Order: sequence, then structure tokens, then C-alpha cells
Amino acid sequence: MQRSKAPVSVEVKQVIGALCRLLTATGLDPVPTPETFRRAKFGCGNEEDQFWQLLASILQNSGIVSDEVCTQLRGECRKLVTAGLWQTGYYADWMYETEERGQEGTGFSSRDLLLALGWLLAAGTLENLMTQRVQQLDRTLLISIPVSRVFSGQLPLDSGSLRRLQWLTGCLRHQGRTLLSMLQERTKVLHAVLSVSLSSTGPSCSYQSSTVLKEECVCMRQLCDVLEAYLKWKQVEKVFWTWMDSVVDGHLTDPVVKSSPHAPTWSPRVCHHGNQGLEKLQNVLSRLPTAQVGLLCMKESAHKRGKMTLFLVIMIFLCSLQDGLEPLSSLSSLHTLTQAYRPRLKAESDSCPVRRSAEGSSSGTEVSGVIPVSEAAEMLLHEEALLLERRDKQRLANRMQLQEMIGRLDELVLIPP
Amino acid sequence: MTQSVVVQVGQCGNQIGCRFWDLALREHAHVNKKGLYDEALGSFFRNVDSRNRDGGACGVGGRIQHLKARAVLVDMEEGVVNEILQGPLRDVFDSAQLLTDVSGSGNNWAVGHLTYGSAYRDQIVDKLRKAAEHCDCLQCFFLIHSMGGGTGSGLGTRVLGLLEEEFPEVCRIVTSIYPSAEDDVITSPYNSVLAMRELTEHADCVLPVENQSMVDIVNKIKLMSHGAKLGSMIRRDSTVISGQGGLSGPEKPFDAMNNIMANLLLNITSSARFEGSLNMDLNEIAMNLVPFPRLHYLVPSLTPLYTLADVSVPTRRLDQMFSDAFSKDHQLIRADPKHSLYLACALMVRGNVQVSDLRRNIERLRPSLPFVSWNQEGWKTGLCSVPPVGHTHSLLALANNTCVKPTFMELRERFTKLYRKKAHLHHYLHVEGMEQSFFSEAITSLSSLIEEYHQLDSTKARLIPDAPRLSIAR
Amino acid sequence: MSIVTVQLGQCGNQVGQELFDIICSDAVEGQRKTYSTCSCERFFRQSSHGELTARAVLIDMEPKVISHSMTKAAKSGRWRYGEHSHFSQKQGSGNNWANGFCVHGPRHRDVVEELVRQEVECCDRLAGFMPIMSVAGGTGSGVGTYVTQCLRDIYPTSFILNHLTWPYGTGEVIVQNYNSVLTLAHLYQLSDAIVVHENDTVHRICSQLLNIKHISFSDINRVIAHQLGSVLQPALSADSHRVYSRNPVGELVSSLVCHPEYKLLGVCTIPNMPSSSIAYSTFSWPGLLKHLRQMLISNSKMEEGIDWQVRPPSGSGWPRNPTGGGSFNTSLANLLILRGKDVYSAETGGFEDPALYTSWLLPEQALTMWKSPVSFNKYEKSATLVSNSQALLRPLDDMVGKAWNMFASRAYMHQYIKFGISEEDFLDSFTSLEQVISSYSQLC
Repeated sequence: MQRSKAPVSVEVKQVIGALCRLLTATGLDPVPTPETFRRAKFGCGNEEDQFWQLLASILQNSGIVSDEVCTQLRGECRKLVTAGLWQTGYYADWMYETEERGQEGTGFSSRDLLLALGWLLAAGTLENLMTQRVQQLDRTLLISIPVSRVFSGQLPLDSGSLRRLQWLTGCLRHQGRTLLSMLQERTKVLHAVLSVSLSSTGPSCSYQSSTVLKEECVCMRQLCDVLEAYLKWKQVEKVFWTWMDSVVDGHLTDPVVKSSPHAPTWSPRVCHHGNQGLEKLQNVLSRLPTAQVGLLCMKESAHKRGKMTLFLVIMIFLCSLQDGLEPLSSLSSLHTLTQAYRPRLKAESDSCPVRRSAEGSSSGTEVSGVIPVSEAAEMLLHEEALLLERRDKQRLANRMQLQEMIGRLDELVLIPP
Repeated sequence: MTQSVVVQVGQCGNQIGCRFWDLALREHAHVNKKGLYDEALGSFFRNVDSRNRDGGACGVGGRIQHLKARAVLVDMEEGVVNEILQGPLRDVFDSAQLLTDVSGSGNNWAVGHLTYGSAYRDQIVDKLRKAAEHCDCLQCFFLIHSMGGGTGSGLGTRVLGLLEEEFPEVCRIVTSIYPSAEDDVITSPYNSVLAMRELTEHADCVLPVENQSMVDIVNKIKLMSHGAKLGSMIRRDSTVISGQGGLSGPEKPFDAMNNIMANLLLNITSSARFEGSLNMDLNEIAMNLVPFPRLHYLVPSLTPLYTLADVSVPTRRLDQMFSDAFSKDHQLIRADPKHSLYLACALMVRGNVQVSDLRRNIERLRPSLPFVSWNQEGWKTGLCSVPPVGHTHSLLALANNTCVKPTFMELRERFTKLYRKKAHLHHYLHVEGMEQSFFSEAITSLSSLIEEYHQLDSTKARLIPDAPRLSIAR
Repeated sequence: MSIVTVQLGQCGNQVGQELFDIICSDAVEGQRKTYSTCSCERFFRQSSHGELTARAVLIDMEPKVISHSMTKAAKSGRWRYGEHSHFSQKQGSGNNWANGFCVHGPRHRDVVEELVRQEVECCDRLAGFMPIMSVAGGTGSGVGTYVTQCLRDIYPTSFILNHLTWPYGTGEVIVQNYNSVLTLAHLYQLSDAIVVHENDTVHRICSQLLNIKHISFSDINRVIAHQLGSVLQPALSADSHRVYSRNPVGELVSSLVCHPEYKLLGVCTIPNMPSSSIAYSTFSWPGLLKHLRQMLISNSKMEEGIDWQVRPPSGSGWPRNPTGGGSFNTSLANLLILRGKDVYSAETGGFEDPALYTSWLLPEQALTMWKSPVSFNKYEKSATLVSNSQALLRPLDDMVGKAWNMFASRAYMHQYIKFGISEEDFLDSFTSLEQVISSYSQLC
């Protein structure tokens, strides 16, 4: 691995600084300093605590670990992190060790946590956090909309139903207008903030004294901070991953403490098949009652499709765990599928350092039963095409039915509101 | 606030006008204690700085300098106008507002309307325009004239035509004095009928006032005040015939009658001049009371005619005021509205009267008053908070009522009597531009007016079914 | 969010002034910070010195009433009108709708639009407009209709709630029925909701409940303002999560006026009593709501003289209008607003009865509830019902009937033709109101 070390080392600090700023902007507190990161790379110092905390709050804020679990595991930072990482599909040996034997005298350092952080970042957790933060700050997106009124799908064709339909249409129209006015309001506030921040450099600016405006202003500033930090981060992200590569390299080639009994031949993004890891995983899974049902059901569906590998199923399942433990029906699985694939597809096309490290160090342990991403994508596209076709058919049928209804309503006078 | 211009034509018109200006000054002096020129005062008066020779007006809100009446005085004799110019009101007018001749119209409508009308046309228009220019929002012309003589009826109705030509947007309210049956002017039926046609065609509203009714009212008040018992003393300043408190000194023979008409004009304009909880602007009068353009003769009645010095039973007296307004004795023409048909009725109340009093009395009086089928609720009301001088409250009722029909029929009869004999006709036909068709057209116009009232009258006491409504197909 | 009020004509300017007065004194009283902040944001803008200025534009074609209202507001010492947010002319519309709509309205369009725009720009967040006017006269009705049309053009998505004062059945303006027909027919196309107060009803409240001997227009306007205020002051709705609702106008419209054929809203409040006796009276929620419900179904606007015989029709096969007693007043939708002590303990089940409503809307769609633990205008407990029901059918039918009778003889037509309203226009208006009448009378 040939790297131009000098410029990188200068850069790295700034890059990690950008990451830290972004993490802070998304509302995480406390965030380790870039220096802590650097030291963590070498697994020295007492930075572990800070990383435990960081990981815990990331897992908590991004909703990977449910609030319930959080309150249960309050104070037990490590357990929380382990559980959370499990749910994101992360595996590392230290996770067992902390569970089984506590942590004294194990081959564990802050570098492991750094790697876990890398996994989380690569899995898109950062974007999740961002989205949540933006929603939080951009309050106009969060306004409670009047409860939508539900009515049965089948419409009998008497005048009463017609009137009800007109009423409901009117109701929707009013709601639409309410939303539109919120949008306008938001634009206006944004404009106001802009003009305030522009004029605040000038001497006369403080005639806008509304408290509401001030609050909105603070929110908007924070929002801008988040977006700005993200932008900066995105620009330098590559460098970070290069650095992360070096961390992984360091981890593989230069273990800080004595190596763990389980061989270090693992790829951080792929679960092991046919080895102890899988057994353990299955053990853990079978301990979760709901998980078991979901898994079995997924297994069944996997058999039906015939092509899906256990690995995929597990990935989907893990994601479904992430989505709040919904039992997966074959229809809703489409949604989760796409989610589950996203990081992997990216990994394929991007020059993701994690993958590169996997190639570099453990290319021999090619995992069997994993379908290539391209094939999976093809499958999905096929699936999507089928569904789209079904949807269009349904739409056509609906339209026909509607037109038929309208035809029958010819003698009734409809007054356009 | 809007302004109005009073145009007084002929002897009678100028005498009434003179009383009007006197009482208007008295009323504003009573209300306006600060001596500032306010909006209310501005509706009839200009405030002119005497140092400013060209008559430049001072704005609203300043001190009163010199008040000038918004008026145009027209007479074809000099007598009455000269009298005004020598009297206490001389400062209110200046020569630019006056137009006189020396020879009079000889009780001939044609002379007034055609001869003088053509000769003085431009001068009259010029004076009217000047008066209008002094107003920043001219709302109404009040024309005061008599129907019997030559100048009032002839030139007066000519002025009316000019007003319509020059100021089509401005409302024209005419106070017309109808002659008594035993009028000493022999040609008065001719003059009146010829003038009637002009009024029917060119006025927005006509307030007909009959000489005889005035005489009756004046006599009744005099009788009351002479035969007054202890405790029912009439306050001298409170009668509608009193001019006390005004600028003029000793009362002249017709002053008592003229004061009634001056009060009529004051009350009509009160709601436009002063504040109230239910304003009634001058343009609302025609809008509410004239359902068909030709039927715009509104019978006025004023109550109370006087107040007793003793003020112990206010509510009863208030209700009495409303009852009186519909009684025969209080109408300013000899007519009985209660036994004719109402097309519409306006109640213009001044003073301390609330909407509940108004409602109570309308509810009370409604059953006894016949209204035309399509306007069963034809009431228009106005509440002005400033009462007339000497009163706590007052009421002016304007009725568009078929009761004017007998007066018009009587007039037609007297006209026909003369016309059948062609009596005095040559005096008219001598006048340049005058043709006999004027007579026939005038009498046709009057007859058709009478017929229109008659048509409406005939619907009275008949049950008219509601017009069938539009129905919505389902 | 803020409401921009547009006061039009004599009636509008008097009612508006009373409304702001009641809202201001209600909001300022006591230490309910959020309530008064929310109320103030709705109706007033605050200067840097803390002075309250009404978010209102005053329009009249003659100056007297506006200057009177402005002086009265300034005298209150608590609030005032904007120094420049008024427009008046010298000469009124003369009770002529056509004069207001075809002449005065278009002539002063730019000035009025500019005034409204300035007021809108002072709002951080605009909830909607509330033109206040009468339907009888010329300026309120004619210019008011025209201004509503302009608002609709410029702010197509904003909510517009028109408050209309209907004249006494008799004795205000002779052409009131013509003016009313023209106003209502036009507003029905333009407005989102039309809240109506009838002078006759309010007059009865003044005389029978408030025991006022000599009822003046300001007494009447005060009652209207009280009822209107009790609707518009901050309240919590079911899904507002303990935050005062943001857009009272929008929420009112979305819960009551979703069908374009039904836009007429009546208001009644309970209790009403002379202010001197409020302190000595206690009320219970069950009592108040029982009365209010009977007022609704028997269509009486007062708690006195309610016809207790009227019952909702029972069973589906039963005819909707039972014989004997009064006729049953069917609702399309109701908004029940409760304010005051123990408001959350109030049992409102009586209003959820499906029999109260038209067969084609479920009670949960038809009934909306707002509550506020803050008492309103000195009443320890008070309930207000805004109802889209048949209650206004009778007066509307009377109004159209009288106008139609007059129209059949073509009386007063020349006054309207003069300003450009033709017989065709009248016929159009009659047709659209007959449609409204028909829609409401077939409500069952």
C-alpha cells in the first residue's frame, strides 16, 4: 500500500476535524477531538471511554437501538454499543469477549471502536443522523397535519355518498392549502433569516424583534451549520476513508495486544459463513423470540425464491430489526430490500476502503453463497418492473371504474367549489 | 364629509332660504361650542379668510373666520334679495352668489322658464359651477322654490334642468311649495302643472309642501301656546316655527311657516352632518324611497312640533312623537298617509333615541299602516345623535305614499278648468319658444303620474300572492 | 399565526372595534402568558414599546365611523388601530350594492390592496383574512364583496372567513334584501366560510338575557364581538398536542365548511348574562351543554325559551321532521368550543349522537372540539357552538323571498341598473341562492 504519507498526515487532522464538526452539528455530544482519533488509530491512550460514549450516542440517536433498550441499558454503555452494532450487522470478536468474560486482559483497544465507527459511517448512519437532525430543526416539516379521514374503498352511488365524497374532497383541498401556507411561511422565514443575517453586519438591523423569528433564526442557523458541515465532510470524505484503511491495516498487521483466539481473518462487512461466527450469530438470534419467527419466515421465503442466500436473508432481517422489528411480509420486504442493499451497492461501485482492505488481506477467504451485487440488482429491477406493471394495471382498472361511475352520474349536477 | 349647495329661486324660495340659513347658523352655534370650523359646519358653509380677498377658504379645523353659505340666490325681482342683503344675514352671502333682475316674471311660467332661463342660462351655470368648485365632495343640491308663481316655478325648474345637465352625478332634492286652492295668483294651476312635468322628469326627490298645511300647523301651535295651562307651557325656543336664537330680529309674517321648511331641510341633512349610530346619507334617501324613477314625491312630516316645558314622561312622549308622524295633522301636505298606500317610509330620528325605541315603535305602528305588497317592510331608519335646538329628540318622516294623489288630482282639476276655457293662454303663447304642446304634454305627464299612483293604490287591500319562486331541479 | 381583519362600512367598523376591544381585554387579563401571547399574535402587532396595534384595515366610503372607531380604540389605552391602515372617502355608497361593487370598489382597489398588503407584511405568519361587514347597506356589502374578490385574487390559497351581520327583518334599509341577495350570492363563490349574526337574534339576547332597557347598536355589536371572540381566541384542538392551534381560520374552515354548497355558519354561546350578575352565578358543564345541545337541535339562539319538545329523530325509518313541537334542526357539522374551569371534565357525548347530523357524514367527521382551560371574557365557564346547520335556512329563505317579490315588480331596479348591475345579474344571484336554500333544506 503505497501512500504519500506527508500530505495525508497534514490533511487527515483537518478531515477528521470536519467529521467531528459534522458529528457535533448533528447534535452528538461529546465528540472526541481529532487528536483522540489519531491516538485511537494506534490503540494507545485512554480514549476508549470517549469512543464508547460516541458510539452509544450515535446508535441511540439514529434509532438503531430503541429507546426502550436504552433505558434498560442505561449506564451500561458497552452492552448498548455491542447490541447496537449487532443490529447493524457488525461483527467483531471483542464483542463476545466483553459479553462473556468482561474486558480485563482482552485484545481490545480503542482501535476496535474506531473500526466500529467506520462501519457505522459506511453503513449510512451519518446520513440517518443528518436527516433526523434536519427534521428536528426544520420545524415546518413537522407540523401536525389535520388527521386524514378514512373512508371505505367501496362507494355506493347514492347522493349521500356523492356529498360525502365532495365533503372529503373539500377537506383534502383545505388541508392542501394549509400545507401550502406552511410552505410559504417557511420560505418567508428563510428569507427573513437571510435578510437579518445580511443586515446584522450593518449597523441598523434590530427592528425585527419577534421571538418567533428569533427562534426560527436559531434553528435555521443550526440547520445551515449541519448542511455546511456535511458538505465539507463530503468533500474530504475520501481522505478519511484512506486514513481508515490505514487504521484497518494497522489493525491487521500490527495488533496492539495479543491476538484473540478467533483468527483475525475477517472482513468487517461480511458475515462469516459456515464458521463459528455464524453459529454464534444463530445462537444469538435464536435467543430473540421475535427474531426467530422473522428469521424462519424469511428462510421460507428464501427457499421459495430459490436464489436468495442465507446471507441476504440475514441482512434483510437485520435491517428489519433496525426498522422496528416489523414482521416481514413478502410485500413490505421490497422496501427493506432496497434499504438493505444500499450500502452494499455503494461498496461495489465506490472505492470503499473497507472493501479494499478486505481484498488486500483476506481475498482468499471468498465467502461462498453471496450473490454478486450486479445479479442482485438485476433481480430487484426485475421485481420492480413486475410490481410497476401490476400497479399500472391496477391504476387503469381504477380509472375505468371511475369513468364508468362518472358516466352514471351524468344527470347529477356537480358544482365545482 | 360631503357638502351640499342650496339653490333658492324666486320670492318664496329666497324667503325660506333666508330662514334656513338663520336656523342653520343657530344649530351649529349650539352644537359647535369651540368656535372651530368643523366638518359638520363645512357641509353648508365655507370658512373664508377676510384678509384673503379672492375668497380663499380656510381648511377644516381652524378658527371660524367668515362663514359663507354654500348657496346660489336667484330672483327676477330685487325685493327679497335686497332685504336679505340689508338684514343680519348679509355677511353670509357675497354678490357673486346672487342673480337678480328687476322686472319679475309676472306669474308666468313661460317667462321664467324660457325667457329668463335662456337669458341667464350662462350666468346661472357659472354661479352653480363656482359654488360646486368650493366643495371638495359635492353630494347634493337642494332647490327651494314655489310652484305657483312665475320665477319659482318657471326659472326654478329651468335651474333644475341645468343642474341635471351640468352635474348628473349630484343628487337633486327639491322642496316645492304648492299653492293653496284659493291662491291669489290666477295662473298658478298652469304654472304648477308645467313645473310638475319638470319635477317628475328631472328631480331625484321632491318634498311637496302645501301652503295650507303650513297655515294649519302654525295656527295650531299658536293656539297651544296661547291657551297654555300651567305645567304644559310650551318652551318658546322649541317649536318648529320658532326662529328664536337666530340672528334675525322681529318676526315677519311668513317667518313662522318658512321656519317649518327650514327645519325640514335641517333634519334631512342632520344625519349627513352629525354623528350617529345609524347614519343616513343623503344619497340613501332616493335609493330607499324611490322604487320607480318617476314616483319620487316624498311626503314629509315633522314631530314634535313643540315641546312642553314639563319633561316628566319621556317614554310616552317619545312614542307619541312616532304616532304623530303618521297622523294627518302633522303632514306638510294635506293628505292622510294612513289611509293610503305606503311604497316606502323613512324615519330620520335625532337626539337621544336608541335602536330599541325605534324598533318598538315600528313594531307598534306597522299593523296600522298599509304597505305595498312587495315592500311590506319598507322602512328606512337613521339615528343621529345631535338633537335640534331646544329638543331632546325629533323625528322627520318621509313617506313615499299614494296620498299625494289627491293633491295632484285637485291640481289637475284646477288646470283643466282654466285650460278648457283657454283662459290666459295667450300670455304664455306670446313668450318666445312657448308652444301649446307644452301644456298638453304637461297635463299628460301629470295624468300618467296620477295613473301610476292609482295603479298602486288599487293593489291595496287586495291579497297579492307571493311571486312564484325559482325552483331548483334535483 | 395572524389574522388580518378588514372592517368595511359602518357596521363592519363598529363590530370590528368591539371585537378587538374584547379580545384585547380578554388576552391581557391575568397571567396566562402563552394564551395572551398567542392571542396577541393573532390579532395585534406589537411595537418595540409593547403597544398593541390591531391587524386591521378600516374601509368606509365616509369618514365619520372610522374616525369614531379609531378614537374609541385609542381611548381604551390598551390598543389602537394602525395610524395609516384606514381608508375613507367623503361620500357613502348610499345603500346601493351596485354603487359599492361597481363604482367605489374598482375605483379604490389599488389603495385598499396596498393597505392590506402592508398589514399582511407585518404578519410573521398569515392565517387568513376576516372581512367584517353587513349585508344590508352599500359600502359594507358592495365594497365588502369587491374587496373579498380582490383578496381571493391576490391570496388565492389564503383562508377567507367573512363575518356578516344580517339586518333586522324590517326597518333598517329598504333595499336590504336586494343588497343581501347580491352579497351572499357573490360571497358564496369567493369566501371559504360565512359566519352570520342576525341583528334580530342579537337584539333578543340583549333584551331578554342581558336585560338592557334601551338597546343601542353598541350593545348589539358587543354581543356579536363576544361570540366572535369566543370562537377566535386560542384554544386546543384534539390533535394540536397541547399547543394552541396555529390557524384558527383554517381549522374552522376545514372542520365545518368542506362542502361548497354549505358555507353558512351560525354561532351561539352560553351563558349570556349581564356582567353585574356573572360574579354571582355558577354553572356546571352538564347544565350548559344540555342547554346548548337543545338550542342546537331546536334552533333557538338563546338559552331562554328553548323548545324542549324537539328531539332528534329516532331510527332510520322514522321521518326526519317529527310532527308536533318545533322542527328538528339537522346539522352538517358542528364546532364545539369550551372555555373555562374544569373544561376537560365536560362530557360532550350529547353532541356525538349521529341523529344530530346528516346521514352522509359520521359524527366523528362532523364534530370538532376545541377546548381551553382559560376562561373567556369573565365567564367562569362558557361554551360556544359554531354550526353549519339548517338554522339559517329560514332567515335566508325569507330574505330571498322578499327580494324576489320586490324583483317581480321590478321596484328599485333603476337604481342598480344605473351603476351597471343588470336584471340578469339579479337573476343569477337569485338562482345561486335558491340552490343554497335547496341544498340546506334537503339536508337530512
